[in-house]
Amino acid sequence: MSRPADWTPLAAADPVPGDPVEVARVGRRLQQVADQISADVSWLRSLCTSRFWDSGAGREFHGQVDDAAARLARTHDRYLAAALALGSGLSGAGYAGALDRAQSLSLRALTQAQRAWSAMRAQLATAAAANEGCPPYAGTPSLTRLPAQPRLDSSGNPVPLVAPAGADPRLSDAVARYNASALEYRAANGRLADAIALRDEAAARATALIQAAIAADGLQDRTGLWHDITATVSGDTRRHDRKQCG
Amino acid sequence: MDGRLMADLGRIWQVSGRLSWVEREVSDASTGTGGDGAFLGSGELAAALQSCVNGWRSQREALLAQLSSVARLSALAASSYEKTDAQLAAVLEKAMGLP
Repeated sequence: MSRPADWTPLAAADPVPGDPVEVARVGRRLQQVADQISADVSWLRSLCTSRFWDSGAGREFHGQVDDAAARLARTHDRYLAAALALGSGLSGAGYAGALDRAQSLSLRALTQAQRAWSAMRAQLATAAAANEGCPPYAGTPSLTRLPAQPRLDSSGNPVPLVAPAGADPRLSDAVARYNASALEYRAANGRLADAIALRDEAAARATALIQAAIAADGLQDRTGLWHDITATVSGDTRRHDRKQCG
Repeated sequence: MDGRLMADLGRIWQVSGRLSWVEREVSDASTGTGGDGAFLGSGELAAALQSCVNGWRSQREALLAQLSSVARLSALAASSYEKTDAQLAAVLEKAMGLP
Protein backbone atom coordinates (compact mmCIF):
# COMPACT_ATOMS: atom_id res chain seq x y z
CA MET A 1 0.00 0.00 0.00
CA SER A 2 1.47 3.36 -1.00
CA ARG A 3 1.73 6.07 1.62
CA PRO A 4 0.83 9.75 1.09
CA ALA A 5 3.72 11.92 -0.08
CA ASP A 6 2.37 15.05 1.65
CA TRP A 7 2.28 14.87 5.45
CA THR A 8 1.72 18.59 6.09
CA PRO A 9 0.69 20.01 8.44
CA LEU A 10 1.56 17.11 10.78
CA ALA A 11 5.10 16.35 9.57
CA ALA A 12 7.60 17.27 6.90
CA ALA A 13 7.87 13.64 5.73
CA ASP A 14 6.21 10.27 6.40
CA PRO A 15 6.61 9.84 10.18
CA VAL A 16 5.98 6.05 10.04
CA PRO A 17 7.79 4.90 6.88
CA GLY A 18 8.23 1.30 5.79
CA ASP A 19 6.39 -1.44 3.94
CA PRO A 20 4.68 -3.97 6.23
CA VAL A 21 3.83 -6.30 3.33
CA GLU A 22 7.52 -6.49 2.37
CA VAL A 23 8.48 -6.98 6.05
CA ALA A 24 6.11 -9.98 6.23
CA ARG A 25 7.47 -11.36 2.94
CA VAL A 26 11.05 -11.20 4.28
CA GLY A 27 9.83 -12.73 7.57
CA ARG A 28 8.35 -15.68 5.66
CA ARG A 29 11.55 -16.07 3.64
CA LEU A 30 13.63 -16.18 6.84
CA GLN A 31 11.21 -18.73 8.32
CA GLN A 32 11.70 -20.90 5.21
CA VAL A 33 15.48 -20.67 5.62
CA ALA A 34 15.18 -21.64 9.32
CA ASP A 35 12.89 -24.60 8.45
CA GLN A 36 15.23 -25.74 5.69
CA ILE A 37 18.27 -25.52 7.97
CA SER A 38 16.39 -27.58 10.56
CA ALA A 39 15.58 -30.24 7.93
CA ASP A 40 19.20 -30.21 6.73
CA VAL A 41 20.49 -30.72 10.28
CA SER A 42 18.13 -33.67 10.80
CA TRP A 43 19.21 -35.16 7.50
CA LEU A 44 22.91 -34.73 8.30
CA ARG A 45 22.39 -36.39 11.69
CA SER A 46 20.58 -39.28 10.01
CA LEU A 47 23.87 -40.04 8.27
CA CYS A 48 25.57 -40.67 11.61
CA THR A 49 24.16 -44.15 12.16
CA SER A 50 25.70 -47.56 11.73
CA ARG A 51 22.83 -48.53 9.37
CA PHE A 52 24.12 -45.95 6.95
CA TRP A 53 27.84 -46.62 7.06
CA ASP A 54 29.42 -48.94 9.61
CA SER A 55 33.17 -49.23 9.24
CA GLY A 56 36.32 -47.47 10.39
CA ALA A 57 35.99 -44.97 7.54
CA GLY A 58 32.29 -44.58 8.31
CA ARG A 59 33.02 -43.64 11.89
CA GLU A 60 35.57 -41.04 10.72
CA PHE A 61 32.93 -39.71 8.37
CA HIS A 62 30.33 -39.57 11.16
CA GLY A 63 32.65 -37.31 13.17
CA GLN A 64 32.95 -34.88 10.27
CA VAL A 65 29.21 -34.88 9.58
CA ASP A 66 28.28 -34.51 13.24
CA ASP A 67 30.52 -31.47 13.51
CA ALA A 68 29.03 -29.91 10.36
CA ALA A 69 25.50 -30.60 11.64
CA ALA A 70 26.26 -28.95 14.99
CA ARG A 71 27.67 -25.89 13.25
CA LEU A 72 24.69 -25.67 10.91
CA ALA A 73 22.26 -26.10 13.83
CA ARG A 74 23.67 -22.96 15.47
CA THR A 75 22.69 -20.89 12.42
CA HIS A 76 19.08 -22.08 12.71
CA ASP A 77 18.32 -20.04 15.83
CA ARG A 78 19.39 -16.70 14.39
CA TYR A 79 17.23 -17.16 11.28
CA LEU A 80 14.30 -18.31 13.39
CA ALA A 81 14.70 -15.31 15.72
CA ALA A 82 14.79 -12.91 12.76
CA ALA A 83 11.72 -14.59 11.24
CA LEU A 84 9.74 -14.34 14.49
CA ALA A 85 10.91 -10.77 15.08
CA LEU A 86 9.67 -9.61 11.68
CA GLY A 87 6.56 -11.79 11.59
CA SER A 88 5.10 -13.53 8.59
CA GLY A 89 1.78 -11.70 8.26
CA LEU A 90 0.06 -8.43 9.06
CA SER A 91 -2.17 -9.95 11.72
CA GLY A 92 0.55 -11.71 13.69
CA ALA A 93 2.60 -10.67 16.68
CA GLY A 94 5.74 -9.69 14.77
CA TYR A 95 7.00 -6.30 13.63
CA ALA A 96 5.11 -6.47 10.30
CA GLY A 97 1.74 -6.40 12.08
CA ALA A 98 2.78 -3.63 14.45
CA LEU A 99 4.12 -1.51 11.59
CA ASP A 100 0.88 -2.01 9.69
CA ARG A 101 -1.20 -0.94 12.70
CA ALA A 102 1.08 2.07 13.32
CA GLN A 103 0.77 3.15 9.69
CA SER A 104 -3.03 2.84 9.78
CA LEU A 105 -3.12 4.95 12.94
CA SER A 106 -0.84 7.58 11.37
CA LEU A 107 -3.09 7.77 8.30
CA ARG A 108 -6.14 8.38 10.49
CA ALA A 109 -4.15 11.08 12.31
CA LEU A 110 -3.22 12.75 9.01
CA THR A 111 -6.81 12.80 7.75
CA GLN A 112 -8.04 14.21 11.06
CA ALA A 113 -5.25 16.82 11.17
CA GLN A 114 -5.77 17.98 7.59
CA ARG A 115 -9.51 18.38 8.16
CA ALA A 116 -8.91 20.31 11.40
CA TRP A 117 -6.16 22.44 9.82
CA SER A 118 -8.35 23.46 6.93
CA ALA A 119 -11.12 24.52 9.34
CA MET A 120 -8.60 26.35 11.56
CA ARG A 121 -7.28 28.37 8.64
CA ALA A 122 -10.76 29.46 7.60
CA GLN A 123 -11.73 30.36 11.19
CA LEU A 124 -8.44 32.15 11.77
CA ALA A 125 -9.07 34.34 8.72
CA THR A 126 -12.58 35.10 9.98
CA ALA A 127 -11.29 35.90 13.48
CA ALA A 128 -8.50 38.11 12.09
CA ALA A 129 -11.00 39.97 9.88
CA ALA A 130 -13.22 40.58 12.92
CA ASN A 131 -10.19 41.76 14.96
CA GLU A 132 -8.82 44.51 12.73
CA GLY A 133 -6.70 42.09 10.66
CA CYS A 134 -4.82 40.68 13.62
CA PRO A 135 -5.30 37.07 14.85
CA PRO A 136 -6.44 37.31 18.52
CA TYR A 137 -3.71 35.29 20.21
CA ALA A 138 -3.06 35.87 23.90
CA GLY A 139 0.01 37.94 24.82
CA THR A 140 2.12 39.77 22.25
CA PRO A 141 0.71 40.40 18.80
CA SER A 142 1.65 37.86 16.15
CA LEU A 143 4.82 38.67 14.22
CA THR A 144 4.06 36.12 11.54
CA ARG A 145 3.98 37.29 7.96
CA LEU A 146 1.38 34.60 7.25
CA PRO A 147 -1.55 35.52 9.50
CA ALA A 148 -3.70 32.86 7.80
CA GLN A 149 -1.44 30.09 9.18
CA PRO A 150 -2.39 28.82 12.65
CA ARG A 151 0.37 29.19 15.20
CA LEU A 152 1.83 25.99 16.74
CA ASP A 153 3.65 25.61 20.05
CA SER A 154 6.93 23.71 20.53
CA SER A 155 5.01 20.40 20.75
CA GLY A 156 3.32 21.04 17.42
CA ASN A 157 -0.05 21.76 18.99
CA PRO A 158 -2.11 24.83 17.99
CA VAL A 159 -1.96 27.89 20.22
CA PRO A 160 -5.58 28.76 21.18
CA LEU A 161 -7.15 32.09 20.28
CA VAL A 162 -8.53 34.38 22.95
CA ALA A 163 -11.63 36.54 22.48
CA PRO A 164 -11.33 39.76 24.53
CA ALA A 165 -14.11 40.49 27.01
CA GLY A 166 -17.05 42.14 25.26
CA ALA A 167 -15.74 41.12 21.85
CA ASP A 168 -17.86 41.28 18.74
CA PRO A 169 -20.07 38.14 18.57
CA ARG A 170 -18.61 37.36 15.11
CA LEU A 171 -15.10 37.31 16.64
CA SER A 172 -16.21 35.27 19.68
CA ASP A 173 -17.89 32.74 17.40
CA ALA A 174 -14.81 32.43 15.14
CA VAL A 175 -12.54 32.05 18.17
CA ALA A 176 -14.76 29.33 19.66
CA ARG A 177 -14.89 27.44 16.37
CA TYR A 178 -11.12 27.84 15.87
CA ASN A 179 -10.39 26.49 19.36
CA ALA A 180 -12.69 23.50 18.79
CA SER A 181 -10.80 22.66 15.58
CA ALA A 182 -7.52 23.24 17.42
CA LEU A 183 -8.56 20.56 19.93
CA GLU A 184 -9.31 18.24 17.02
CA TYR A 185 -5.83 18.96 15.61
CA ARG A 186 -4.28 18.31 19.03
CA ALA A 187 -6.05 14.93 19.15
CA ALA A 188 -4.66 14.10 15.70
CA ASN A 189 -1.18 15.10 16.84
CA GLY A 190 -1.56 12.80 19.86
CA ARG A 191 -2.73 9.97 17.62
CA LEU A 192 0.35 10.41 15.46
CA ALA A 193 2.57 10.32 18.56
CA ASP A 194 0.85 7.04 19.54
CA ALA A 195 1.53 5.64 16.06
CA ILE A 196 5.22 6.58 16.26
CA ALA A 197 5.51 5.12 19.76
CA LEU A 198 3.84 1.87 18.60
CA ARG A 199 6.31 1.59 15.73
CA ASP A 200 9.31 2.48 17.94
CA GLU A 201 8.39 -0.05 20.62
CA ALA A 202 7.82 -2.82 18.06
CA ALA A 203 11.11 -2.01 16.30
CA ALA A 204 12.97 -2.04 19.63
CA ARG A 205 11.41 -5.43 20.55
CA ALA A 206 12.30 -6.94 17.17
CA THR A 207 15.83 -5.53 17.31
CA ALA A 208 16.37 -6.93 20.83
CA LEU A 209 15.14 -10.39 19.76
CA ILE A 210 17.53 -10.49 16.81
CA GLN A 211 20.46 -9.12 18.80
CA ALA A 212 19.91 -11.71 21.56
CA ALA A 213 20.06 -14.53 19.00
CA ILE A 214 23.20 -13.07 17.43
CA ALA A 215 24.87 -12.75 20.83
CA ALA A 216 23.99 -16.32 21.82
CA ASP A 217 25.10 -18.42 18.85
CA GLY A 218 28.80 -17.50 18.81
CA LEU A 219 28.82 -17.19 15.03
CA GLN A 220 29.13 -13.42 14.68
CA ASP A 221 32.18 -11.99 12.94
CA ARG A 222 34.46 -10.26 15.39
CA THR A 223 34.81 -6.57 14.66
CA GLY A 224 36.06 -3.50 16.42
CA LEU A 225 39.36 -1.79 17.08
CA TRP A 226 40.91 -4.51 19.26
CA HIS A 227 39.97 -7.24 16.77
CA ASP A 228 41.44 -5.18 13.91
CA ILE A 229 44.69 -4.65 15.83
CA THR A 230 45.07 -8.33 16.77
CA ALA A 231 44.16 -9.45 13.23
CA THR A 232 46.76 -7.08 11.78
CA VAL A 233 49.44 -8.21 14.25
CA SER A 234 48.67 -11.88 13.62
CA GLY A 235 48.76 -11.27 9.84
CA ASP A 236 52.12 -9.49 10.17
CA THR A 237 53.48 -12.34 12.31
CA ARG A 238 52.41 -14.92 9.73
CA ARG A 239 54.04 -12.94 6.92
CA HIS A 240 57.23 -12.59 9.01
CA ASP A 241 57.27 -16.37 9.72
CA ARG A 242 56.82 -17.18 6.04
CA LYS A 243 59.74 -14.91 5.13
CA GLN A 244 61.97 -16.59 7.69
CA CYS A 245 61.03 -20.06 6.46
CA GLY A 246 61.30 -19.19 2.79
CA MET B 1 38.50 -51.24 12.33
CA ASP B 2 36.60 -53.95 14.22
CA GLY B 3 35.95 -56.23 11.25
CA ARG B 4 32.46 -54.98 10.33
CA LEU B 5 31.85 -53.30 7.01
CA MET B 6 28.46 -52.02 6.01
CA ALA B 7 27.83 -49.06 3.78
CA ASP B 8 24.72 -47.79 2.03
CA LEU B 9 26.46 -46.75 -1.16
CA GLY B 10 23.28 -45.29 -2.65
CA ARG B 11 22.98 -42.84 0.24
CA ILE B 12 26.69 -42.11 0.35
CA TRP B 13 26.44 -41.09 -3.30
CA GLN B 14 23.48 -38.84 -2.44
CA VAL B 15 25.47 -36.97 0.22
CA SER B 16 27.47 -34.76 -2.11
CA GLY B 17 24.39 -33.77 -4.13
CA ARG B 18 22.34 -32.96 -1.05
CA LEU B 19 25.21 -31.10 0.62
CA SER B 20 25.77 -28.88 -2.40
CA TRP B 21 22.10 -27.98 -2.04
CA VAL B 22 22.63 -27.16 1.66
CA GLU B 23 25.68 -25.08 0.74
CA ARG B 24 23.60 -23.11 -1.75
CA GLU B 25 20.87 -22.59 0.84
CA VAL B 26 23.33 -21.21 3.39
CA SER B 27 25.02 -19.00 0.79
CA ASP B 28 21.71 -17.65 -0.52
CA ALA B 29 20.23 -17.01 2.92
CA SER B 30 21.48 -13.44 2.84
CA THR B 31 19.68 -12.71 -0.41
CA GLY B 32 16.03 -11.81 -0.57
CA THR B 33 16.13 -9.87 2.65
CA GLY B 34 15.57 -6.55 0.99
CA GLY B 35 18.71 -4.53 0.18
CA ASP B 36 19.26 -1.58 2.50
CA GLY B 37 16.31 -2.40 4.75
CA ALA B 38 14.39 0.83 4.01
CA PHE B 39 11.20 -1.26 3.92
CA LEU B 40 11.59 -1.80 7.67
CA GLY B 41 11.18 1.90 8.46
CA SER B 42 13.65 1.61 11.33
CA GLY B 43 17.39 2.09 10.97
CA GLU B 44 18.11 0.22 14.19
CA LEU B 45 16.12 -2.83 13.11
CA ALA B 46 17.61 -2.71 9.61
CA ALA B 47 21.13 -2.77 11.11
CA ALA B 48 20.23 -5.72 13.38
CA LEU B 49 18.75 -7.71 10.47
CA GLN B 50 21.74 -6.94 8.27
CA SER B 51 24.06 -8.06 11.06
CA CYS B 52 22.02 -11.24 11.59
CA VAL B 53 22.05 -12.29 7.96
CA ASN B 54 25.48 -11.08 6.86
CA GLY B 55 27.47 -10.68 10.07
CA TRP B 56 28.71 -14.27 10.29
CA ARG B 57 30.80 -14.31 7.11
CA SER B 58 33.82 -15.93 8.71
CA GLN B 59 31.85 -18.78 10.34
CA ARG B 60 29.75 -19.21 7.19
CA GLU B 61 32.88 -19.68 5.11
CA ALA B 62 34.14 -22.24 7.64
CA LEU B 63 30.78 -24.07 7.52
CA LEU B 64 30.73 -24.05 3.72
CA ALA B 65 34.29 -25.38 3.62
CA GLN B 66 33.31 -28.14 6.05
CA LEU B 67 30.22 -29.09 4.04
CA SER B 68 32.29 -29.09 0.88
CA SER B 69 34.88 -31.33 2.53
CA VAL B 70 32.22 -33.81 3.71
CA ALA B 71 30.71 -33.86 0.21
CA ARG B 72 34.14 -34.51 -1.35
CA LEU B 73 34.92 -37.25 1.18
CA SER B 74 31.62 -39.01 0.64
CA ALA B 75 32.01 -38.98 -3.15
CA LEU B 76 35.56 -40.26 -2.79
CA ALA B 77 34.46 -42.99 -0.37
CA ALA B 78 31.58 -44.18 -2.55
CA SER B 79 33.78 -44.26 -5.62
CA SER B 80 36.56 -46.12 -3.74
CA TYR B 81 34.10 -48.68 -2.33
CA GLU B 82 32.69 -49.38 -5.78
CA LYS B 83 36.14 -49.68 -7.31
CA THR B 84 37.37 -51.96 -4.50
CA ASP B 85 34.23 -54.09 -4.71
CA ALA B 86 34.64 -54.46 -8.49
CA GLN B 87 38.31 -55.41 -8.06
CA LEU B 88 37.43 -57.92 -5.36
CA ALA B 89 34.69 -59.43 -7.54
CA ALA B 90 37.12 -59.79 -10.43
CA VAL B 91 39.74 -61.45 -8.20
CA LEU B 92 37.15 -63.87 -6.75
CA GLU B 93 35.79 -64.71 -10.20
CA LYS B 94 39.31 -65.41 -11.43
CA ALA B 95 40.13 -67.52 -8.36
CA MET B 96 36.95 -69.55 -8.77
CA GLY B 97 37.67 -70.02 -12.49
CA LEU B 98 34.44 -68.39 -13.57
CA PRO B 99 34.32 -67.07 -17.17
